[in-house]
Amino acid sequence: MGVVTRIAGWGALAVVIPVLLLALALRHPPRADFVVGNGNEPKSLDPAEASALPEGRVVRFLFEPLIVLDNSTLEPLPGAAASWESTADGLAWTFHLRSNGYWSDGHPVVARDFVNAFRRLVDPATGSRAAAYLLDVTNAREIRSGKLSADKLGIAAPSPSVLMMTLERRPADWLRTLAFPALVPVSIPASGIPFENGKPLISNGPFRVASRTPRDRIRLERNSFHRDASRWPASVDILACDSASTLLNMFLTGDVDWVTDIPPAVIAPLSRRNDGTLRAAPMSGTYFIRVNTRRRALGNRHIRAALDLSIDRRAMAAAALPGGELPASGLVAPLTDGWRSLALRDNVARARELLKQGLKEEGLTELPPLEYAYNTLDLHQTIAEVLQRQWQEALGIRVRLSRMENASLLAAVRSGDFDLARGSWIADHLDPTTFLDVFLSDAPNNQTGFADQDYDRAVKAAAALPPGAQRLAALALAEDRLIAASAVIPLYHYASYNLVSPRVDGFGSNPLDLHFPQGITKGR
Amino acid sequence: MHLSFPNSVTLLITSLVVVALSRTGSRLKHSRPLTAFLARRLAATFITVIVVHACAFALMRAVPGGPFDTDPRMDPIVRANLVARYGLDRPWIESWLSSLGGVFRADFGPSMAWRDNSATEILGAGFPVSAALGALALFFAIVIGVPSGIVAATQRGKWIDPVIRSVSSVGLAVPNFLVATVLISVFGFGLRWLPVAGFGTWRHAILPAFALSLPVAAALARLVRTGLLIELPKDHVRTARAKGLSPLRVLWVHALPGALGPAVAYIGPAAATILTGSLVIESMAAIPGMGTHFVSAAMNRDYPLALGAVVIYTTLVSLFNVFADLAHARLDPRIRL
Amino acid sequence: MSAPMSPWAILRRDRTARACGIVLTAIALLAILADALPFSDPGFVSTSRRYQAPSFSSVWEPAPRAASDVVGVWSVASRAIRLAVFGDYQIGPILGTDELGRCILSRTVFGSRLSLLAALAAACVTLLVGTAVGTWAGWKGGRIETTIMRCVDLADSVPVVFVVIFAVSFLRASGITNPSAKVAVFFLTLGAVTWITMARLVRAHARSLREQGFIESSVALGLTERRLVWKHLLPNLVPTMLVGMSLTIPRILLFESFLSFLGMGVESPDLSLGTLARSGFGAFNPIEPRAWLLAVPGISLAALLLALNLLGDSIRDAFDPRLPR
Repeated sequence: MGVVTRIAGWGALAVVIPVLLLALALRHPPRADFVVGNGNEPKSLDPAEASALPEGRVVRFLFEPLIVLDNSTLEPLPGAAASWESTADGLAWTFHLRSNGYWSDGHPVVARDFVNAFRRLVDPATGSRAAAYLLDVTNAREIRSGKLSADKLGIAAPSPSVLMMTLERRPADWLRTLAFPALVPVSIPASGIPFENGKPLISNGPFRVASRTPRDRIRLERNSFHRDASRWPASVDILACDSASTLLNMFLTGDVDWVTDIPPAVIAPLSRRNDGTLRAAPMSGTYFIRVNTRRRALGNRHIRAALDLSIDRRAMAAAALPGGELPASGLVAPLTDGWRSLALRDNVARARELLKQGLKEEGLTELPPLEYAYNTLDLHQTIAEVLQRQWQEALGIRVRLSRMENASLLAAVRSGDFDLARGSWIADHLDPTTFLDVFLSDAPNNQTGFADQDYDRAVKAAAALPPGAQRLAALALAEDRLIAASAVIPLYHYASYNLVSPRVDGFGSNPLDLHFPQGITKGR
Repeated sequence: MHLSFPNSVTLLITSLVVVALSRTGSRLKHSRPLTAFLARRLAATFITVIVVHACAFALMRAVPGGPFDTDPRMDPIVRANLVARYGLDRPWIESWLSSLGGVFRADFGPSMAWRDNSATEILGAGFPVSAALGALALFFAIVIGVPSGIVAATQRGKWIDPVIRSVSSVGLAVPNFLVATVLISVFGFGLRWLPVAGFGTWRHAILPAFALSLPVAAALARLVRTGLLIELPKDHVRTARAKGLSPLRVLWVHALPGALGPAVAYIGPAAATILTGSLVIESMAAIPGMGTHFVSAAMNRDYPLALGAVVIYTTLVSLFNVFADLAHARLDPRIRL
Repeated sequence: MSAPMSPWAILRRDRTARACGIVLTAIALLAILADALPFSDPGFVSTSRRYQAPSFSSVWEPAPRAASDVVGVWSVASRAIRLAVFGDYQIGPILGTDELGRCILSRTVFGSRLSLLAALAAACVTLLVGTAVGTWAGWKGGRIETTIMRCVDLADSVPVVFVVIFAVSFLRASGITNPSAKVAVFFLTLGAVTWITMARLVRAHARSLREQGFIESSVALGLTERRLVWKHLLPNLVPTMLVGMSLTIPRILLFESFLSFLGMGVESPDLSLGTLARSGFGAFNPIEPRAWLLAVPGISLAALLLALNLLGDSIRDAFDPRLPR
């Protein structure tokens, strides 16, 4: 009988243990009013670390910068600042903070909080990448290189509600820059260390952190001290889930309200549903090929141009891209305010002539074997295969495909150990210089060996012009020089895709794919 | 070579424990077999963990490139700061010892990819989720597998036996991800009975646990069936039956204890199977368990987190093996520890 | 009861085993001869055919000009045979196409080739290492046996899957860019984790042979040790090796698909059943399921594993008559 009892006991144990464990593991509150499928787990909620998209999205929910942008027009709107003015040369700025701005612990937001935050960002000891946005502020570069201490930064708080900044150079789009998620105030506690692990996070934005389970979700609640609190959903869940297919499934069953990453294969069927949940919009980003001009054959501009013109971008888009992307003939994405749109120059016959000419100039009978390097992602793979076939058919050349991890690709590009490499640039503000600066001869991300003094001068001269049509025309001329050199071969301009449930209003669509929760309101 | 004080202590303690444990086997020869068995197996577990930790650590250090090399826009100053903050510039023996010392204190260090939490916190949050899912899967496997095996063995020669045998063969052959996709499509999207992904209520756990349990249930059914077929013709079972005991009682009291031996010994491998499956299932169903943590840590080169996960998995599987052997011996008196 | 049959005879008379044998031979032939059979080029992109569902609208169609180079004697010869037998025709996309209009049938056939190759390579490692270690330990006995088996025990309690994922993810980032080197590393890692089962089985059998007085009788015949091991011990161990392989090969196949599904195994453009299932799962969605993308490689893998498992059962039954059927 003993054995039976024992077996029965074990059986009971086998039932009880899972139930107990399950009860232990299920400590989640019910579904939030608004659920965001946010991709990867944010590296940190510290705004100084908010350099990637998932972090930026969370930080926007938690913190309010001086300026927020309209979700459709990207017009600067009052955020923590109620109003602002600048001198005519754009080098000195004064911001008047709202009288009703509060931290989630009830303290008022004061100009000092911004001063502390900006100094902290620029301080090399913080190790924030966002410091790059503040390099035009007086003394920022000296502080960065360790020559001055952080309190010499050109930002001051003459009174609790007034914030003053002085700049050394006029940045391209300073107001929109101030809307970046990293450039938010920080409430420094008595210990002097903000964002300490284990302490509650104090925020000044629409929401505050209610709870957080690593790699699962961040539960947010309305910041009841915020002036507009009543307009927003009472609770928000930020889900950390890096499987796009899974997030799609959850969206379709109504478990998620906003999905930012959609499997490319599903975009076409989703847009065919035509129920308004898929928000596709052109985006300020360009997918391109870096050509290593230090390689023998690729040093010849005719050969590079042949590679460029022999690509059939329309066919590539049809074969490999989900749908909303525009084939690119220029580097600057056409959405940047008032920017021109270029016609495609794809021309196989001309490409063949150019190749012949280039080979003759180099004294070659045929092109040495080339390699196209790209990083591990299905889309890059598909594009690489299409490129391989198009070059083979148009020019009769065989390009080897070399697929590598992102880190290896970056290392190879950095050390100049490549022929052709996949690259991309996503604009973080709406000025053409954000693209054109990448290929200045001393720019760290140029990596192509392309160095043209005339191009450098043209970009810098044009950038210094006051905003307006004349400046854009000058920048366009500079871009023409870059395109003619074919050191960078643009393929297409990105599109952004979001799935948004009808429960949400004011989501908006814009070329920077920015969505400020300040504009988002409870829907039906 | 200069070693810091805590690291020298780690080194000393580790070597002492290894030496002491490796001698316990011989010293405990005359004490109770259970004590000797446990001492021997725990020593083996300890050594396994150290060896695995050392191998994994060596691998991490041997491969060029670190967790901070993926970012093209990162300032060299910032990178240098980070490398120093995470101690990646220290000599390898130093880092290895302090990492090993951390393992003994259940402190795996700060996570490099997720700055707000230590690796221990992240793994600690994922562990109960995975454990619950795994326990539920094991429970499903036992509830499905053992009765099927008993039915197949007792109904041998009838139609049900080949059916159960074929189903269990198929169950062993179909990969987890296929089962999970079918289950999600049918019960999640088709019938709308259960959520398709996520974690939060008991309903979330059912589909993934079921998908995880299938190969284990299939294996259990086969083991129980074979075990019973060996046991049923034996003398003591025949005697019991001849005494006129009810068939259920014969089965329950006389045949099953012997027959379940191989199935109980299978708990160790079953735990390994379920843990392995959880890597795929957790990421498919967006379940915040250890499996997803481990896969993404390995992909992100988050050294402390990946290392911590491997150490935990090693310990778990070793302990389950010890437990399985122990249980097997309890159930089957012929087995000596 | 008649005279006991030899295990081989039992196996030959086993209908399940025969059926599985036929299926497996067919799959193996399909994979080996894929180049000589009229399958379309698995990499051939046809944008007009994206996401076609399985259909018999175009079963036999003219083959487009091959874009990829033909390298190697084997491929050239196969291509020639194919041209001679089937002409310039190919089987159409009867099992559907993927996002680039590539034929799923042909991709599955070529994918199974790499999966089988992985299994074979890892099985070879297992056979060599496992048998060598097992024989050595079982044959020598004493301290050597104890030491070796301690190490095997240690290796056995390591959760191999996790260590392999760990290793693969770090090795992948190590800058090995040569695709064949990557695949080779992958195969070796797979083999490195499966030799233990084999070593255990072989050692147990070798030891029982030794204890049966195998050595004494052979030594009495005046045989050298090397000759003894090669001529008498190893042939006697063949059934054990077979059993070991029958356990190992399905495990490796499943493991390969598992790793590839997680994105840590074979990398595109190389094809395996696992990578195909991975991209099938990526394209799977409730709006337009495109289930064939996942089902074709998934079911092929399951069928392959089923046949291997059933054959393995038959082999074990035949060589271990103590187990009831």
